[in-house]
Amino acid sequence: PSEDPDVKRQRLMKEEGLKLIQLIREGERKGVSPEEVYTGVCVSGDSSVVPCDWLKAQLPALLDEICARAASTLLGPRAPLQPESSERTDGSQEQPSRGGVQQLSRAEAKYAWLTAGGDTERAIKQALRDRKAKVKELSALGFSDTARCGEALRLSGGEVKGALALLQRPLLEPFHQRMWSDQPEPPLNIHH
Amino acid sequence: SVKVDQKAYPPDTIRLSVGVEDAELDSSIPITMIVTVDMTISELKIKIKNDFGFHPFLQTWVIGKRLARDTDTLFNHGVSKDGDRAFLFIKAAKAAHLSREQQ
Repeated sequence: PSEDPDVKRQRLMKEEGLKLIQLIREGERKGVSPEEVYTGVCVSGDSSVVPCDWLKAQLPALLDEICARAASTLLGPRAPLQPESSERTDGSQEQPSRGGVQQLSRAEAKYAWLTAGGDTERAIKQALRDRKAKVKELSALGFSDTARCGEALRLSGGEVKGALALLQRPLLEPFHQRMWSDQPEPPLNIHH
Repeated sequence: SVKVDQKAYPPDTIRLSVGVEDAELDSSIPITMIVTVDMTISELKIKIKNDFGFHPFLQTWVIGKRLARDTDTLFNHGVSKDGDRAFLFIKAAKAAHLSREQQ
């Protein structure tokens, strides 16, 4: 029986869409975002595997691999951040990243993995690019120690806002100490 | 300047069949949207937000076997004719970490 090609196209659009919707629905019940489900489907490439199961079994190790390989790129001898010809045309000085822990958080790796559509190589490049941009943003706010910025970003899961709070916390530490100091409270003036 | 070849897109509007879904419901609620195929998913999200009040963060669009990205157009996903179908999955606000104040 020959089906009209347009009818067939629309039927497939519906069936395939519904199939993905079903997986997304299942994902939401398990606390997995649609983007994760979809990337899981694309990467596992096996329709018999439930994406949620695949994500649970495989993703943590994959994210750790992305973190490790990104870190080795940042710290390695062939780090692309420092061009071999050391003449910087703009005359600025870039803080070398060596000596500090430039470890990505899993959250950053996951974000990059999703953005890269599940492609590990692209995810690593993406994660490095994102991290570099965030360090630059923090540096523009006056935090020039790239190692510290990197560590704060790792702890905040790549959130600039969170990293900024972490970096600024020590600045306000003296206030905390004074707050708990043993000075007597000022007397209440009942006439005011 | 870059000139977009208008012939690349059919000029007229089409009626897109949209199945609206969430995790609670087991079947779609069908709606029809009048759209042009050069609309992006972002624009669709804004239209849904304006017409029905669902925050763009809560909207996930599925067309065929693909999850549509904000910058994609309907045309990118092969939408071209009346009756072509897309699905709109509405995430729970909690799952999307969205508070009532942000709505």
